[in-house]
Amino acid sequence: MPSNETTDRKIMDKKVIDISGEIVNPDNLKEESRENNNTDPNYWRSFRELHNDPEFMKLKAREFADGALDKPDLNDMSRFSRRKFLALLSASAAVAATGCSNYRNQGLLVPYNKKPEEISVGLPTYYASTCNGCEYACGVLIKTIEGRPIKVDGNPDHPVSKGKICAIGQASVMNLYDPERLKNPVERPDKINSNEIQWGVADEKIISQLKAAASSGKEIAIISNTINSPTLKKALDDFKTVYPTAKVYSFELFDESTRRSAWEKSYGNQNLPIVQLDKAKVILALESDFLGNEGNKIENSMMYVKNRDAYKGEFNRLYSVEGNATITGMNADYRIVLRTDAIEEFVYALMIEIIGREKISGFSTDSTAMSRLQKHDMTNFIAKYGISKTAVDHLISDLKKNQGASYVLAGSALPESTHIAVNLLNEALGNNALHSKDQSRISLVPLSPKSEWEALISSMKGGRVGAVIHLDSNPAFVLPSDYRYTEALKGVPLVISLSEQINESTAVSNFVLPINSMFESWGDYQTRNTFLSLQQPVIAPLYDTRQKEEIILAWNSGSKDSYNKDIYRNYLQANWRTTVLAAQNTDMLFNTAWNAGLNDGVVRVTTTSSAGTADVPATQQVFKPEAFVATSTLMTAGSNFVLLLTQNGNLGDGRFANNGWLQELPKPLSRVVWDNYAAISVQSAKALGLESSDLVKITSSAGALEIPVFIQPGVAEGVIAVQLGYGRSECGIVGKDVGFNANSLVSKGAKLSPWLYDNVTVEKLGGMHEIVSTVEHYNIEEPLLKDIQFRRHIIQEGTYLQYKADPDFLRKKHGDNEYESINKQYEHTGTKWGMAIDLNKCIGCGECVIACNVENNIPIVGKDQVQKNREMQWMRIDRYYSGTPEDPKTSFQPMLCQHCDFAPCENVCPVAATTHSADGINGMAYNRCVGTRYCSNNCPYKVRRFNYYNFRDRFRDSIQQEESFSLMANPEVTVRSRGVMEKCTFCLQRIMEERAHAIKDNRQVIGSNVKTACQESCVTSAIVFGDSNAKESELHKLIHSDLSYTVLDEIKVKPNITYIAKLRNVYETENTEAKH
Amino acid sequence: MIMKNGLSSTNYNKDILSSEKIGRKKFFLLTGIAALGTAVLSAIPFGRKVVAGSTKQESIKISPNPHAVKRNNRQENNG
Amino acid sequence: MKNFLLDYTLKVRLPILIFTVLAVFVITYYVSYAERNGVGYGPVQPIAYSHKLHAGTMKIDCRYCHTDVDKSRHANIPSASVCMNCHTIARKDKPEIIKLTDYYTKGIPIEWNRVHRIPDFAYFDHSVHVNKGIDCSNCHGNVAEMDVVSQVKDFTMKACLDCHRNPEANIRNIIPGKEDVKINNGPTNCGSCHR
Repeated sequence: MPSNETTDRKIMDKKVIDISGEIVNPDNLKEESRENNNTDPNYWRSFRELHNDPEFMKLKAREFADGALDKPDLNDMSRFSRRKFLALLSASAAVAATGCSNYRNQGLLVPYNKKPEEISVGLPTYYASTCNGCEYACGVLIKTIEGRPIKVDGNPDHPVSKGKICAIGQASVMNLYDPERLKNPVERPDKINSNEIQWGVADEKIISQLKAAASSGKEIAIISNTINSPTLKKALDDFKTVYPTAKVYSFELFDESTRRSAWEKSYGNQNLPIVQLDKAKVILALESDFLGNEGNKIENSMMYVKNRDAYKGEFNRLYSVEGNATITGMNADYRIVLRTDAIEEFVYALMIEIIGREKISGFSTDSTAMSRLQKHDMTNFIAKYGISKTAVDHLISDLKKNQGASYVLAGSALPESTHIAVNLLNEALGNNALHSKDQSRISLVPLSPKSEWEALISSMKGGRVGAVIHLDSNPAFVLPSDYRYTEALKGVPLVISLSEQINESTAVSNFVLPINSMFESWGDYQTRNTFLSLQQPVIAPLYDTRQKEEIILAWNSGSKDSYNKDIYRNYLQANWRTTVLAAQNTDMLFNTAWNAGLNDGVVRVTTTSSAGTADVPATQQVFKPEAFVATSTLMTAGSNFVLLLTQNGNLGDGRFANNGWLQELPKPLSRVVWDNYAAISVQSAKALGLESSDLVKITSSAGALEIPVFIQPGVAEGVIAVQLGYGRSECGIVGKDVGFNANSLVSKGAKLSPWLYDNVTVEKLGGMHEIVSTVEHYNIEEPLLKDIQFRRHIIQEGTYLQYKADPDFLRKKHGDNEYESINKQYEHTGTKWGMAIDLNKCIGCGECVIACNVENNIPIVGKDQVQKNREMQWMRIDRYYSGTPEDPKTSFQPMLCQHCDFAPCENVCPVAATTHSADGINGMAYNRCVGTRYCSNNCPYKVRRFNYYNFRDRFRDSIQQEESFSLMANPEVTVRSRGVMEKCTFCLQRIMEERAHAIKDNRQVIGSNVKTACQESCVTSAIVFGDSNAKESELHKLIHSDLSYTVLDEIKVKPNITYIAKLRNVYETENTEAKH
Repeated sequence: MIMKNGLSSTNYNKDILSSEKIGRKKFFLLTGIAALGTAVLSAIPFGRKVVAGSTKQESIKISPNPHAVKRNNRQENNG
Repeated sequence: MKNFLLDYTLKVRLPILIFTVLAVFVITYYVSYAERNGVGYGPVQPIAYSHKLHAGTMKIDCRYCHTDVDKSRHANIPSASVCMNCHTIARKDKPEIIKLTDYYTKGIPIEWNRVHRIPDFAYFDHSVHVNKGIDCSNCHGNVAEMDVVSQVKDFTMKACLDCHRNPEANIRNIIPGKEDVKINNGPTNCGSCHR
């Protein structure tokens, strides 16, 4: 707008002139300066200024020169404004940023550099080995994939475990990959701080100190759990040669000491026989949890269920007399609830009825024995303790009828006097016929008796012990607290612990040396006289660890440089060359024989010359009846509480406390997770005013303990039972401070037995510690819930005699509810996957749950989430009580996704994430699931599990996200994240594997080739999976058998899982509990 | 006397925008939304978190033991 | 003036903007479909291995190197030791072979850039397809003619299902020796691929 411009300037000029007129007037200035007598000279910069040129004066007043303030010529300017420039800059930056990522990059494919011959990518390789979980050394098959062990199952060649393994064995994979395993040797000079050292340095220091101790006559004590490895024993013998003051001590938390000492008194030796329970028609279990916790429970369970098949053979009958509530008792046909300290009197009363009143053929006891028995009488006993006369009468008559085909098992916790009495009873009944004649136990190194321990402790205190070596053992936690072991250890200058994880013993050691897990170790084991079991490493040690035998060998040689990574393998082979394989008397090359042994995992031997002690075979046991007479003590029932300390099936003696799967496995009866508790009876709880989770103080002659109670139906009044192995104080993050350490209640000088104490007081403290159970702990007498399992036909039971009389009784009782189904029925031709679970064989042990966890990458969720019913186990064992709370009957039922043909969950998924396949499987597509949870809402069996959190991230500072944990995952099963629903898939990955084999061999899929994880692990073979359309298969026969039923069958969802009704072998032909 | 500064030349901004300066309301609205967006994005990790361990270098070396003997079948070996 | 600007923005500029964005998005989506699903992706590999030379000219069977393709789910990339079966002697002076030998002797596994990949939630089983006689070229294209392996077929679920539902029309080549194996319709239930 030019016109404005000139007028503006004019206005400006005018104003300038005005200003200039005022200010720059040289004459005025001169005048003023003369007037003021100012002597400042007149400054001028140019002639124009000097002469006060009027034009110049105008210019001077203006700040900007001509044209400087002209509006810019738009034609001169660039088309590219600042704004445009900035916009383009940011746009190009954005484009560059998005274009930066190579969205087509599919990652890397990295093959082996030199592929080992055994490995096929994606195919598993199996190795036979031996388990180290407990002293029974069962054989295992380890499944590895690309070099990583991911699953452990039983070795079918092992004569004792016969292809099965317990929960501890199944979960042992997690022990290998535990991120909190010890990884480097550490030295702890003041037993407080640790610094890492090299193996060579540690060896050198230790060898010099050991040599010094030996030469100065100080004892070197090696403390271990049961030593059942012949080669380890040899290495220890060599150690004792090099260090002459060395002594080996061994211990177990539950060592059957009373049973063995009783056997010694009765038979003159400590070689307990192997009882062939599968030949027994009647079994009496006196406080004996032989199916759950005592002895080799795998062997026991397999022998027991041989005679519990409804369609084959005759049922045996199990009687149980116990004060604690155990799964053996709950599986019994007749269970007599009796406080533990009354059991010995019961045995006496039984003996008087059986031996006293009627002379048993061929057996005579002398009058002294008889006179001892005469004081007891069964009728009085029944009246005094209020037990069922019917049950006792049946027991007596059964025992008398089945002499030589029955057995009385006394529990390990019972005192020596009871065991002696039971030995007499078994002999009288001729039950020694059940003792195995061709198999006997081998104990290479007997466990150290109390006298040896006390001598050791006093030597330690007196400074006569120069070194203590904990050989993969934890005496600071396990030994009875009144040995005061940890305090005595302070007097020992050198304490070395060889361990896989931190524990209470490593916390008080000078050297903590990490050892290999069972997957990384060589070994050989002998528990029976007929075979040896080999152990081979399937993976090189993950960390800087050594095998405990290797460490011993390095110390034996006296020089740290003798170690190389094959040292124990060579030693083992050398030992075998001279002992085992030499005795085989074959002309097979050693290497062939060795490899054959490793392939099978088990080598049969005919002589025990390679082993330790020459045992007395079963046939040569001579009974000494005078032992009974010589017994001076008799356990009698008191009026105070009696305390029973029991084994827990999951954590061993506490060494597996850091294994989250085992902690989260519910205990069979109480279904409690993550804690131990004091099991107390309903009556005692009422008397003391206790509710579950209330804290009590238990005081015995050994010590005191504060622990929460749990009201357990079926516990006898006056009995309080606590599980040992909990309350680890020095442990990884998972197991630390979980549960309560009942070790303070174990005494070395117990009157009855180390696990049974009378005169115990229980007092209620205030406060509580929440005990979390996976089953709602409801009052079983509440009207709405009482016998719900029978009213809804979830549990259908009968008696064996009833079944014999009328095989069709179950169908007649429940009928076939012929309601109309709203679904269109259709025929499934071709393969149809189904499962049958035999409730006669299911003892409720929970192995199937752990196997499913390992196979399907189930996360651990922690106690707080289990409380909200958010445990992620796909399979659960439902446990129902019926009858009275004081003396209930228990029914177990494994519950998993029923794969219903008309699944209510499939209809309601808004995104069709769960669909039914033509072969009967209800599948789950995790990638489609949006987490509506409508399917779980609709499931009548409530078997769907939802990932409310990414539990791997959430539990215990994301320990499950550690690198080593991810190595444990089964690569064939998706690892689920937050927001996704999951459930049992019938091991679809195994079905697809079978399908791939079938296509490779150009044949049809054979249903019985597929073994689901739960089926494979079930010790009693209660679970059968397969093709229900295959007419000759076992599954088909089971589904169409007389006792089969489906759960909640009136809602017509057609589940693919069939249950076989439990038959209790009682004399009554009507199952009086299940009246509905 | 009004001293008008030489720079009262803002009048030709009008040529460019043909409107007044961006309204104060609009300005605050836009900056408010920007601030809110930044706050939301920084508080809620919309898929930004990478699962721990997925990008880490494998420090555990897995190697099978060369002396181990594999088993060919899972069935009983007639042993 | 203010109202006019706001109006203008809402009535004219905003719809134009929305339309442009949507149009661009939709067109890009469909045009880039093949590329996004991997078709044509042929990355440069650490060693310039040519299938054209080995599988084409020299007629080496696919299964000589990819040994587990008829045994397991994965068609394994051969380890360096397989290459060295021949290349300890064959052309051992050529630069690429020197590179290979270097990897082998140093024990460093070769990091190949993966070409064919389906998401982790889908479990594909090679052995099932190969044992039915479906030749590698049906899905991977004529690899024997490729110097650099690139993906020719998009591995979307739709592509898989098309073949499962109509195998006769989609399978072009059969592995020699497996002509008499009957190929039924492939499974279409979710569990067959998504466990």
